[in-house]
Amino acid sequence: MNYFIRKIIDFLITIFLVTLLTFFTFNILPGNPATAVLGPDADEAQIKILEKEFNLDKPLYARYLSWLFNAAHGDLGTSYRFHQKVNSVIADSIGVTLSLSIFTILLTVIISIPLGIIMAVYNKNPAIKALELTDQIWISTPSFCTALLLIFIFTLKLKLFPSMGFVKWSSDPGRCIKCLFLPSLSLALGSSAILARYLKTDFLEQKNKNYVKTARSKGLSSFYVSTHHILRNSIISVVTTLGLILTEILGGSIIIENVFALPGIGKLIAISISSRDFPLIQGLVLYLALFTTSCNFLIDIIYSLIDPRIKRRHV
Amino acid sequence: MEKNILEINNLSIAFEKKELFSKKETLYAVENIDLNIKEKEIVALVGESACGKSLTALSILKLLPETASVKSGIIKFDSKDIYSLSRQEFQKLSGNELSIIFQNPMSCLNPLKRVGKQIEEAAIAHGKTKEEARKMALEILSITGFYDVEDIYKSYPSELSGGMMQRVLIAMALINGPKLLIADEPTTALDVTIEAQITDLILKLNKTLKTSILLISHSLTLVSNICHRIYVMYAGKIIESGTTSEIITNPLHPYTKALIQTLPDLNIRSKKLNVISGTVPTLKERQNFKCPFYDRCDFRKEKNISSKCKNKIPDKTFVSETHFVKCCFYKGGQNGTD
Amino acid sequence: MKKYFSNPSFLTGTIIFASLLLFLLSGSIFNRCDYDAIDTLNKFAASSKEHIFGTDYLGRDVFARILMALRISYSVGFIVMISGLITGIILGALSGYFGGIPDSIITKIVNTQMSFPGILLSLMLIAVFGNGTFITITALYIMTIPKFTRIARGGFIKYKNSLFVTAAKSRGAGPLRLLFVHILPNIVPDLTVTATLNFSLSILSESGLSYLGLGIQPPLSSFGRMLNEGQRFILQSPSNVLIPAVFLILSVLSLNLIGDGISSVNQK
Repeated sequence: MNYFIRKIIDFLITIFLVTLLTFFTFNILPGNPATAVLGPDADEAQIKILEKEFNLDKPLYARYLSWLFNAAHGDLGTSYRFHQKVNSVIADSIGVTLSLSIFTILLTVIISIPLGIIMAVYNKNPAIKALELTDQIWISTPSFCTALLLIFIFTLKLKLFPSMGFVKWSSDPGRCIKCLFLPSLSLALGSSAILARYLKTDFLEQKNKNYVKTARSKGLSSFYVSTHHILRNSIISVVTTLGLILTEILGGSIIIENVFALPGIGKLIAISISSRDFPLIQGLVLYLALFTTSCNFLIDIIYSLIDPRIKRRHV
Repeated sequence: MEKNILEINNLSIAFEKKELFSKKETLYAVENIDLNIKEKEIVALVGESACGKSLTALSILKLLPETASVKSGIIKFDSKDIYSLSRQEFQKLSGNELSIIFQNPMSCLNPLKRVGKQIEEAAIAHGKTKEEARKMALEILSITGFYDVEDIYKSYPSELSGGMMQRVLIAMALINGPKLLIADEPTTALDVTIEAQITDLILKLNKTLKTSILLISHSLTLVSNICHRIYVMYAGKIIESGTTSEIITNPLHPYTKALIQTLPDLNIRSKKLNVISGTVPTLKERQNFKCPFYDRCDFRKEKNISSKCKNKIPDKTFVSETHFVKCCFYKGGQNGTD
Repeated sequence: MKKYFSNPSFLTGTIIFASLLLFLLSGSIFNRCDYDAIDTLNKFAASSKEHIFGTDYLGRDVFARILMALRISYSVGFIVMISGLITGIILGALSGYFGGIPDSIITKIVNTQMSFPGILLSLMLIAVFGNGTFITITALYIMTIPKFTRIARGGFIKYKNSLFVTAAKSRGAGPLRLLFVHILPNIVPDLTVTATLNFSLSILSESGLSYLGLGIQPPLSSFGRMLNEGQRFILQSPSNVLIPAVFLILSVLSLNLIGDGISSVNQK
């Protein structure tokens, strides 16, 4: 129990620091955001009105606290550009990014786990050794590069998948998957390469351990030993790596959404940066950072459930 | 006359190394050893580190590392040549009639699974149902000296001490009532008080379950207390063998003699501990055709027989029905090649 | 040193890296064209003696642009790596060796930073301070600090209580001497691996930013930018996408292979 409480406190402190970092990055800028929005020739009176609207007349810490207070209640302010509540702007796009992320993770797991196991079990096979080389190449290829390659092959040459646009799951699941397939694959190929390598290395490491020798000496079949003993221990490293990869996938999806013109958070970020829409950027950053922090926290908890040694080490 | 439960004839094990820009090397770690164990016997295999005793144990269970392989010889368990058995047939024996416990108990259990489940695995793998296996596990845990068997059954390996873990491993190895248990340095990683516990346990199990035991150790003291016969191994070869009393009271090979002398005798007050100078030759160095102990042997200098030992590999000389030695001093010895 | 070169991964990586450097050097000497010379009459030209890699959609010489992009990737990556390395060592020493409150603070900050997706941090800075090479380098530099700090900190913690350090202390060595003369050489292997991997990561991140139109600005060329521009005309001139892609992948690949090779040799 002590372990969980410690972890939760850590989590809360991290979230607090995240909000601090987010707020102050965007509010230490010298100069007046109001003029940035209205332009340099704006009317004195209009500037005053906008300043009032965005609370720019109050001191910094007060603004932080009121922003935090509102944020806790779900109000992240109003977007300069869209003139809507930040929340509703984000809400429209978040579905897209979430579907993309989920689909990517699914693909990554589906590809990497069997791949990792095959690479470990057949690692003397020359064909598999060649596969490992290509693995390195996938890791070195940025996701948008993979995306361009996939677009070239599947959209332009084979005309199988669209390279633009998005359809909601609720309206047309088939088309939705089609739209998401190439973007997810671009992200998944890079991540699976990393994950498969980790799995392979860990699997081979476990294979030489003493408890595997003991298990085999009991007369258990190698299949049983591989699944019930080796794999069970290797999965731990997979779970940890998945946590790290999640952050990368989210970062990658920002770019990928721009490649494939998907109306998600990534596209919003690009738009908000070019229009210097600070409330929106702030809200977006906060969401993303909170999301990744929570995921890492969950992964830690899952990890402690699988591995009984973790709780003891911290006590 | 009891039959042999384990018969090893002329066993040789070698490592093969192949690096990126060099030739393939074959290095022998165990050469032409013979070893027998009868039913209900406790036999010791004694020697320094890196003399090949653990490899021998692994080869009996077909658990050699990937780079090592059996180059010659036959290993017969219960009159069956184990290297001619199929994988399934051998799996039926392993953990069932023939089992092994390793040196480092702390790393021998899967840290993610409960201890009880791991013990049951051995029984379930050989045909028992889950309920039967659970009963057998609890029973064997109490035989190996645990009082709170239910607690131990439910715990994880990280919650047990070294001594407890070794007893768990012994329980796991014995749950199916094997005919032969190989114990590879079972007490080396544990402290002396636990060592006594474990050796007592082994003795008790030999008496009650009638299991033969091959005890591998580097400690003559340990084995002299419980074993019926001793094999002395050096640099991959068995250089002497006999009953415990024969070896302890009448050691013949210079190495065995030196080993006995290094045992501190509480009755004699001396200033220095006796040591054997030098180190065990590496696998590469052993490829010279001569007695493996040549470089460290003071005996040959004493008896002035260095010319005899230099280019001969000693053959077996039987001093009694049970006691043989491989040393040029005691007659025997062929020229050069093996 | 020999043991590194007998590792196939390290060897391949070094060969590719050396080839790219050689390409950069010789190319810069022999190149006649300007990387931003626009010549719209000559767009999408095929490979010729004057334009070895052809031209892009504005008629600019692709070869010259590749050279510029390589130069930028390597310089940005290198500067980021060195600054990150130095900062990481200092912070790692502070937090790992001295421990206590500075340790808790630094660790908390590092962990918080790692919960932001990498690109996000750079985007935040760009949003506030605008585009440009300097901002890109700063943003990437901030991205790499936590990684170096973590490894350095781990290394300092591991060695601070070891025997040779205690021995040196007993001979009167002060903390600075202990840190940099005694402990630091031991963590160099791990730091080298992190450095090479971060070098490649910086190149990747920079290309991601310039792909989005942020970061390095025109007329300077960068791999990401070239890919973005080439994407629009991928059917007319696939080589405009292929060539920068290949060079980008090779630059990153060579560094990853080197890092991999070093780490597998060190593990043995």
